[in-house]
Amino acid sequence: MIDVLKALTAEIVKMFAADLWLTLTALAAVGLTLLAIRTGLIDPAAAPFVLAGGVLVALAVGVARGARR
Amino acid sequence: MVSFATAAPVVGAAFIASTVEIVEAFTIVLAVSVVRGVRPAALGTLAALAILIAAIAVFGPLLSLVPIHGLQLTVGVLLLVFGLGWLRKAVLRAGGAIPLHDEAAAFDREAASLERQAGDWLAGVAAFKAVLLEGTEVVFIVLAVGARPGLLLPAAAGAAAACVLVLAVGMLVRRPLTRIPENSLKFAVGCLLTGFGAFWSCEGLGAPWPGGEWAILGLIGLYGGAGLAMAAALRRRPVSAR
Repeated sequence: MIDVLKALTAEIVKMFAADLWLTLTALAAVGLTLLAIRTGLIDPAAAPFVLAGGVLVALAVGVARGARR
Repeated sequence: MVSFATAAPVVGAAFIASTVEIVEAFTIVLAVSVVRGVRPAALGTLAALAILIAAIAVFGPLLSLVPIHGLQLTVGVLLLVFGLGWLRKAVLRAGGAIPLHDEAAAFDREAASLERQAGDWLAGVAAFKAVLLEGTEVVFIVLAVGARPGLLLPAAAGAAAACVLVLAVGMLVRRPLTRIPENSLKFAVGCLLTGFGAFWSCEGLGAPWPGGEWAILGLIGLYGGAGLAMAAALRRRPVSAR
């Protein structure tokens, strides 16, 4: 049972952090969008486009890193 | 009453994602069934399914108690991270950077491992573990895409339909389901979950999308197009760079 619990914990961690850089880049995209809204750097109406672009960057970084391995 | 436009992507995401995961779990359960008999395979599977259904039944209603903006942001970010992981892996596989998942090889590995082990108890545990681990992702997807009022049931129905379909086809052919285009499904789910994740994250930040929920379709198209372009770029790389 301990073995199953360990595997379950590993599976849950893997679900969200199989590639730590991808996770961090995606979190950074959301965090920077929030920061830009709160500081008035961007209008909230522009925020969706900023986030959508940030997510694209996160995907591109993840794919590029994965392809280099 | 939930509209069709709202429920359809939720049911679709839960159905396709569940199909991918259930096919992988079925391969292990089939190996247990072939090597050690139907009884340990069925007992292990049913025990794991009971836990997974209980998790949805407990956590699903609890999510409705969380304030909507906090829920959208939390679920959105989790979906974004999870969906990007699937999409990245599918792009790398489609581009030839990493090998495709091989159900026949997984079946052979599991069957060989089961033949070395003694006892039906361990075989039952193997089936239990496979269904529980693959099902954990299904539970997360059902809870996440069904997190808004009225959507948990459609999401669970999508997952249940996938379960019934895979088991029916699997029992009919009695072989690993190698013909299911696993990577294409994974790519589609990656786009769907990333689209949902980006949409809900931004709504949770208090920045509504132009076009409301129709923006989800645009996001799915955006990430799908980008993923296809990245896979094509990977395939065009010189062989020495792969």
